This record gives sequence, structure tokens and C-alpha cells, in this order.
Amino acid sequence: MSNDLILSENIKSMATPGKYMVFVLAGEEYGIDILKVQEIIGVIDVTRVPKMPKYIKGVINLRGKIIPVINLRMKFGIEEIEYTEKTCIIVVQVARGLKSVTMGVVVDEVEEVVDISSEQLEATPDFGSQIDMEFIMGVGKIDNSVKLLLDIDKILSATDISAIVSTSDLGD
Amino acid sequence: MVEKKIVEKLDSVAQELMLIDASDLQALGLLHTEFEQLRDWASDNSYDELASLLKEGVGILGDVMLDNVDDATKSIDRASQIIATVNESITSGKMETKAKSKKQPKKTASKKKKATPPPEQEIENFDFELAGEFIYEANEHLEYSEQNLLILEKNPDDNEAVNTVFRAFHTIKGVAGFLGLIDIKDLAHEAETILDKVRKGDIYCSGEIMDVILASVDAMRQLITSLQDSVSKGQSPLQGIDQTQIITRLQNCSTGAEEAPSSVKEEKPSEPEESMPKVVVEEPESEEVIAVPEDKDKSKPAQLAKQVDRSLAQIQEFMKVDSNRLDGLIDLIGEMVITSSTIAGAPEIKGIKSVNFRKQLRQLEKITRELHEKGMSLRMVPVGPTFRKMERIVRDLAKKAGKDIEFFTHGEDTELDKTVVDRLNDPLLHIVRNAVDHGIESSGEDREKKKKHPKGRVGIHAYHKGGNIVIEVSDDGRGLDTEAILAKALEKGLISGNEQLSDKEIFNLIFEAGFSTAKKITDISGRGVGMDVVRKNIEALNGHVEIDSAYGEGSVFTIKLPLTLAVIDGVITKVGNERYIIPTLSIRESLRPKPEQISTMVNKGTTITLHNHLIPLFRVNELFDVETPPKDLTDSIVVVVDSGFRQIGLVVDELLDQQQIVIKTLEDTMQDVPGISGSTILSDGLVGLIVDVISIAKLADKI
Repeated sequence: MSNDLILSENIKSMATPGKYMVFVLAGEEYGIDILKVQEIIGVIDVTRVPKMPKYIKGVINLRGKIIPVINLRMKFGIEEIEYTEKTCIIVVQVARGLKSVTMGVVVDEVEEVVDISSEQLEATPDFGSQIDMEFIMGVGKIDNSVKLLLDIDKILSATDISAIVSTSDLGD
Repeated sequence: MVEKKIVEKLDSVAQELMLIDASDLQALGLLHTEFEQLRDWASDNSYDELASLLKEGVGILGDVMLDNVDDATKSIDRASQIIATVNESITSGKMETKAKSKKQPKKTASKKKKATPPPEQEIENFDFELAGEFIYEANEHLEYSEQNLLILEKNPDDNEAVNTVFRAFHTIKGVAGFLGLIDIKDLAHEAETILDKVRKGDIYCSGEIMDVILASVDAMRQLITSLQDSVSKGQSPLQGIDQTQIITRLQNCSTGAEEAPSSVKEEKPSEPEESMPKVVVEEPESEEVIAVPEDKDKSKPAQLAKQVDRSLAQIQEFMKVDSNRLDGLIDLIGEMVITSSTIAGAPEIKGIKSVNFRKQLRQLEKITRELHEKGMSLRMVPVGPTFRKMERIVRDLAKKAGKDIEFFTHGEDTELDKTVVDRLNDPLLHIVRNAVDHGIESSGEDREKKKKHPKGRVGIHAYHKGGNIVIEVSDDGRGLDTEAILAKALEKGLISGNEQLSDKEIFNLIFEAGFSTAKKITDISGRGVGMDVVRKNIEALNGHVEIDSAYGEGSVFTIKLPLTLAVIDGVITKVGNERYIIPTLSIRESLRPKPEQISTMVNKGTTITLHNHLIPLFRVNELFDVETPPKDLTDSIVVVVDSGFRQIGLVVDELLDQQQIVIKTLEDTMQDVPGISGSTILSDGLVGLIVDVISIAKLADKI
């Protein structure tokens, strides 16, 4: 059974058919709902913000708007690697309650945009990838490959942040 | 206070009462204060019945807190009832006010308007759009009228002033009639009648007449405010509010016999001036802190000249602009400034040798800068009108307290962002009230004994300094008593008693929450709620407030504000490979410490001695976990900042630059980062974080 963590904000979302942006993280392929993707940029210098959890690398200036950048590997507890020329930042708009928040996620490589139909959708398997199933809304099977569809809204929930900020020993 | 705010306050108090637990002392305490504020509002506005009801409420809550009641729940119910009654009275518009006890001359049987109002009714086919314009203009008229009335008070022969006020009410009456606003029209008519008599010379504008006209300005304001309320809700305003009290007063005064001129407030320009005792200020500028006698010698020609200027100013055209659009425009200009300097600073661009190119580039930068300044100036308004409001308040307060006070202003033309001016109103008001209430001594004799001028002096002085505006409120009153303040602070647990505080630091303790040394709690101040709220409000504007004083001679409140909300002046510092910006307003000084200044103490950590004071040091690289090799203190820079009432020293590697910073809020995800108040984009395009000097100290405490 999929791991339904009780996050007060949202119940588990189910993947819907549509276009997904596919990227690679530690050898596995993931998809994000294209409607949430704002743009893709190459890796740029990030300004570190103190007292934040390690997976929040800091903030960047995106044409005048200051947005946080999250290293997805670290968020999922996968070992961090050095950036290569393929490393990108996907700028996404995630839902936070009624508002939408812009943030960047660092991924190893961006592949393509695929169309996933309802026949290709499957429920999340029990066993899994290296990451917590809580973030996976479903699975898209295209030809022989399997793309894990990411619930990007959950990546940084408010509970994360408030828990973070109130503790005093962090960020080391 | 405005009706809408009161209604909101009543609603929130009602809600709190429903949820409260009778044993929750803290919540009861807060409610008690709210009741007191409501009671004061009621008595300030002569709603005597409401005031006594609310007074009862205050007493009830006090008893519950002290556990002097048999049935706490019942008492709280009674308190709820009181709030409900007050709320009802206000919203139904039937406020019972007791007429002030005055000798009223016999009413002659002349044809007067009947004081019985028609029952409340809506207006048919109400023109909302026209109403919007009317409200805006009416408010301008009223403000202008008030200014002129105050001038008139000092100079009763100033006929131009009377005429201006007359015309204002006349205009209001006209449009109000057209819109069907009967209440406003009626009130304006009565005011206009009495003003007409004054300008014709049939009535002499005495103290009492002045009071009544000012009262009608207030009443008119309230009508306009409730009109605004209805219009903003899309409701047609109800007519038929009971105005008997003010209308009767107006009618009586206008038909009454001429009154002997009251001598208290009138100033004779020829009065000899003594030199003002100089109050200790930390930055003695060439301009004096307290406005100099030149303001006082306002002889008639100067007044007339000012009036001519004013009428010329009226011809200047204004346009109403959607403020959102304006903000959008200014944001965009801000972006342009950043991009322009990024381009100019790029190495590839710097490498271009072409003379013509460099010329064009400089031109571009120049135009961008000017565009930026012009953009900023769009939102700027002079502080003058705010000072006018203060003048009125001082007059009313002084009268109430039975004190003889002169009020000066200097720098009315100084300009500030409109939002800042709006938000400055309340804290400034509180400070001014404080000066009148606590600062100036109660009687002329007290002052004479100290060889002071019999009239107390309160002044506001505004000027630009650096990238900021400075507003000083000074009084030549009692000054602050360090002993009393220390004692109180100890009593309230604000300090431990072990700190060695400079006089300045002691004075600024009054800004800490829960502080008040007033021996007698008056209507206006003295409940210990005020000063910390004042400071919070000013800090919310990215500003800074502090007080300096000389015991027995007077005090000065110095408020420093950035010119706009979005921009502050900041110093960019280097800590390891990172950059942090410290707002200039908070910086007292920066230095490279000498070995003999540094000392380490067991319970205080490392400190430096500066001007005979120990200032605790905090290494920013430690606070913010910046990876950097340890650096000797004598190789670093210490930036001494004001953090709350104490001063602390922040240790950084280097100071890089000082410049205007456009503040960008960190998005939702990054609110409440301890020690950081915001961010900005630096000239190389990277993000710079702005240090929050208050919360950084708290971060330090955790280490």
C-alpha cells in the first residue's frame, strides 16, 4: 500500500493524463505536470540562505523575482553530486493553499515532454525507487520505460518550513 | 478615532469575550485595555452614556481579574452585553451625546431649521461615481478648512481664512444637495451660516465660536467617513442621522450675542523671545532642534503672502492615478536600474573602448537614474498636512490638560512616500501626545521656577539626511528621569540590573513593551501600551526611532525613515564568500577594533569598549554558518547597530559598499528566516540578503 503520510494540507493526489516534463534524477526518470513548469534554466549561482535545511540551496534572481532553489537529490535523501553541464533548474509553480509559489528544483538532466494517456497510467507500485513514495502520484508506462510522476506541490510543504524554522539546531 | 475602526474593535472584543476563559489572566488583561481604549474614545467624543457603560465594563473586567466576583461567567456576560449595546448604538447611528454644559443664550424666535430629523431612509438613484469624487474633494476641503481655522485662531482678523472656510462649506453643501445627502447638506448649511456672519463682521470669531466651527468640521468628517463606508460597500447611504446636538450649537452660536474675545490662545507677535534651552541631541546639525523664534514672528504680511502662495498652488493640476499601476511602473523602473547597472558592470561591456559607445552608455545610465528618481517622486507627498493635523491635536490636548503650549513645525515641504506618510500618522500622533501630556509641565509656575518660558513648546522638525528623512519631535518640558526609568525597567523585568547602560540606552528603554512611568494614568497616555507600538510601527516602515533627553530641560524623539517603503539605504558587507546587507538606519558606527578595545568576559562573551561602553560582539559568520577561515578581530570590521534598546557589534570581514537597496521580499517559502529581513538584487545580478538587526540578536542568544 502506498505510504499515505498525514500532511494536513492535502490528501494524496492521483496522476491525471496529460503532458509531463521528464527529467532524470540518479538514473531514474520522473515526470512533472507540464502545466506547473514555468521554464528551465541552466545552473546559476545560488545565494545561500542561512538556517535553512540542506536541501534548500538558497535563492536566485529570476528576472527580478527572488525564488528559492531546492536540490531534489538532497530532498529525497539521495547523495548529492557535482553539477555537470547537463544539470538544470526547472522553475515550477507549486500550489500552496490558494496561492501559487514559484521555486526552482535542481535535476541531473532534462529529457523531454511526453504525453501520457489514461491507458499508460498506473497506480504507484509498492516497492519503489530510491525515494519516498509519498511524493509519487502515479506511474506512466511509455514503451518499456517507466516514469515516476512527481507530486511537485508536496515537495516543499508549509509544515516542512515551519518545523524547520522553529528548531534552533539546524543547517549544520 | 474613526467609526469604522471602532466597529471593528467592538466586533473583535465581542468575539474575544465569547471565547475567553475567566482564568486566563493575560487575555483578560488585554481585554481590559481594549475596554479602556473604547471608554476613552467614547468620552473623547462626548458619548457620555457609552463612556459610562464602557467604564462599567472596565471595572467588571478588573474585578474578574482580581477574582473579586462570585460568578465570573455572569460578569463576562455582562461585559458582552455592554459591548453589544455600544455596538448597536453606533451602527444604528443614534448616538446619545450629552450637550456640553455651557451657558446658552436664549433662543430668539427666528426662522431656524427644525432640529427634528426625518426618519432614516435611503437615497433613490444614488450616484456612486460622483459620490466618490465628492468624498475625495470634501476631505481636501475639510483639511484645508482646518488649517485655515487654526490660522484664524491666531489671527482673528484674517478674513481670507474665513472666506476660504466659508467657501469650503458652501461647496460641500452644494454637491451634497445634488447627491441627496441631506445630513451633510444640513450641517454644511448651519456652518455656512455662522461663517457668513463671521466674514461679514456680524459675529466676532471668539474662542467659543472657533470651538463650535472646529466641532462642525469634525462632525462633517464623520459624516463623510460613514458616507465613504457605505459607498465602499456599494450601499446607498442612509440619511436622517441625528445631528441635533451640533446643529443646535451652531444655531445658538450664530444667533447668540457677540462674545468677548478669549485671551488665552491669542499670541501677540511682538512678545519678546527668550532663547530656547538647547536640548542634548546626538547629532548637532546647523539647524536647531527646536524651531527658532523666526517662526513666531508671523506678521500679517507674511500670512497674506502664504495665502497667495496657497491659492496659486490650488491652480496646479492633479491627476488621479490608480495606485496599483503606479506601483507596477515603479517596480519596472527598479528592474531597469538593476539591469542597466548590470550591463554597465559586465566585463565584456567594460572592455569596449569606443568613445562614442561609452558616451552613450553613460547617457543611458544617467537617464535610468533620473527615471528612477522621477518614478520615486511620483509617490511622494509633503509631510505638511500631517503636521497640520498634529497642530490641531496639540491645541485640543493642551486645552484639555489646561496647559499653555505653543506648537512649531519646520520642514513642512519635506516629502515622503505617501504610504509612509499615512502610516506615520499614528506613531507621530502618539509621540506628540506624549510630549503634551507627559513632557510639558502642568503649570506655568512649575516652568517659571525652572526659568523656562511660561508657554510650553512642542515642535516638529523634518529634513532630509543621507538617503533618509529625519523627523524630530521636541519639547522643552520635564525631560526624562533615568533613575525612574531604570527602577521601572527593573520592576517590569525588562533588565536584570547587571547591565551597564548608557543614558541613551536607558532613555530608549521606554520603547520596551509594558513600560510606563506616568505617575498618574491620564486619558491619553500612560498605560504602557503606547511606545512599543510606536516603535513597531516605525520599524515596520523600515525606520528607526529613539529618544534623547536632558532632565528638567526637555526631550527629543528622533524618527528616521527611508524615503520609500521599497528602498532603504544599506551597507553591503562581506562575510567569507557571502554578502550581507545591513540597513544604514540601524548602524551607529563601524570600526576596525584595536587590541586594547577588545576584552572577553565569562558571562558576556567577547566585547569591545567604545565610548566607555561595553558592546557585545557577534560574529556574523558564526550566526549564519558561513564557511570561512577564522579571522582575527583586529583584521575584521565591527559594525555597531541598534538592536532593540541595546547596541551590539556585528563582526564582518569587510565593508564593500553603501548604496540604495531595492527591497524584495523573500517569497512565502522563506518568510521568518531568523536574522534575515529581506533580500535584494545586487549589481552583479546575485541576490543579497538583508540582515534583521533585531532578530539577529535573538539568534545570537541561542548560540
